[in-house]
Amino acid sequence: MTNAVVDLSAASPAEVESSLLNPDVSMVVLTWVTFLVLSVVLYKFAWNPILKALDAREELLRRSVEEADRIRQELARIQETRQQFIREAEEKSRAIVSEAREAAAIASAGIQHKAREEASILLANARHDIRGETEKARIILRQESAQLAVDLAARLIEKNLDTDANRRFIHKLIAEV
Amino acid sequence: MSTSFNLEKYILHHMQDSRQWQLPFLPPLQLPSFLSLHGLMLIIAALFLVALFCFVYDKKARVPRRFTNLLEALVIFIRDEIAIKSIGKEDGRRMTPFLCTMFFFILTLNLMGLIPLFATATANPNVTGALAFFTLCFMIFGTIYKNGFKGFQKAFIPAGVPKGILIILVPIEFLGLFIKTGALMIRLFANMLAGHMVIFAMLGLVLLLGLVALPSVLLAGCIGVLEVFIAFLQAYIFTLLTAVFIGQMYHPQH
Repeated sequence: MTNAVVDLSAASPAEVESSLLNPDVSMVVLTWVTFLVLSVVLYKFAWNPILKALDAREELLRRSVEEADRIRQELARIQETRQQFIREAEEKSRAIVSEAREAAAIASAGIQHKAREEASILLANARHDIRGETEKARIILRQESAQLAVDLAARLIEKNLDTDANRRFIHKLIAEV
Repeated sequence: MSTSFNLEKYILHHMQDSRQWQLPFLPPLQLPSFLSLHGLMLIIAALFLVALFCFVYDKKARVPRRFTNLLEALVIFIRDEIAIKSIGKEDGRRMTPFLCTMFFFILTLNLMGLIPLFATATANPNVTGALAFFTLCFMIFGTIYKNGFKGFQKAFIPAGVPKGILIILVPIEFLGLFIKTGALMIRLFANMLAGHMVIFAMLGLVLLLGLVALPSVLLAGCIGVLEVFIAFLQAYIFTLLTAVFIGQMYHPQH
C-alpha cells in the first residue's frame, strides 16, 4: 500500500485526477464484449428458461386457483344435493311412519272391535249357559227337594207323633240334613 | 501537508483503473496489457453471474426456495415493475432479458466494489458509458426496427406544436437522446465514485489525525452499509431509466 503512494508521488495530482475521466477505448470495447457475451449466455441459460418457467408457473397457479374454485363450487353443489336428499329422505320416513301409525291405529281399532264382539258373544254364551245350568240345577233341586219332602213326609208319617214331637223330629231331621 | 498530499493521490489512485491487482499478503498481480483491473472485474462479474444463474439458481424447482426465490423475486420485479410498466406488455416482455442482464451486471459490479479484494468497475466512466451506449442503441435502432424510420422521426416531433417552434424543438429533442444517455452514464459513475471517495476520505482521517479520528472508521462503516443500499439503488435506477427512455421512444405519443 505504501508502495502505491510512493510510486504516485512522482505524478502531479492533476494528472491522476484526469486519469479518472480518461476515455479508454479498450475498456469500452471490453465492456461491450463482456456485456454482449453475458447477455447471450444468460439469455440462453438463464432468462429464457426462467421467464418461461415463471410464465408456466403463473399459468399453473391461475389454473390451480380456477380449478380450486370449480371444485369448491362442485362441493357446494354436492353438499346442497346431499342436504336435499336428506330432507327428502326425512320427509319420506316421516310419511312412512305416520302411515304406519295410521294403519296400526286402524288395525288396533279393528282388533278391539272384533275382540269386543267376541267378548260379547262369549258373554252371551256364558249367560245362556249359566241360565241353562241354573235351570237344570233348579230342576234337579226341585226334584231332590221333592224327593226329600217325600222322604221326610214318609218318615213323618211313619212316626206320626204329636205336633211337638213332630216339630222336634223335623228339626232333628233338618239338622241331620 | 505532505501527508495530505499523499493521501489525496492515494485515494485517487485507488479509484482509477490500473494494471495491477493488489492482493492481500501477496505481491501485486501484474495484468496483461489488454486487460486492466476494471476489465478483470467485468469478467469476474460476468463469470459470477453465469455461475449464479446456471448452478445456484434451481430452475427445476416447482416451488422456489431460498436463493432461487430471491433471484426470482428480482427477475419478476424487473419484468413487471420496470419492463412492462415502462415499455408496455409485449415489448416489455421482449426487453426483460436485456434489462435483467443490465440490472444484475451493474448490481454485481457495484457490490464487488464494496468487497475489499475487488475494484469498482462502475466507478469507471468508460464502463458506464459503454453500458449507456446499449440504451442509446435500443433508443435509436430499437425504435427504427419497431416503428420504422418515420416512427423514429415522430419521436422528435411532438404533436400539436407550431412549425416555427419545431426548428428549435427538434434539435433539442435529438440532443436529448444523447443527454439522457450521458446523464445515465455520469449518474452511475459519479455515484459509485463519490461513495468510495467518502469512505476513503473517512478512513484517511485516521492517517491524517491519528487515533483521535477513530470514530470516523465507524462512520465509514455506516457509509459502507449505505453504499450497499446505493449499489442496489443505482442498479435499479440505471435499469429503470433505460426502460423508461426506451419506452418513451417506442411510444412517443405518451
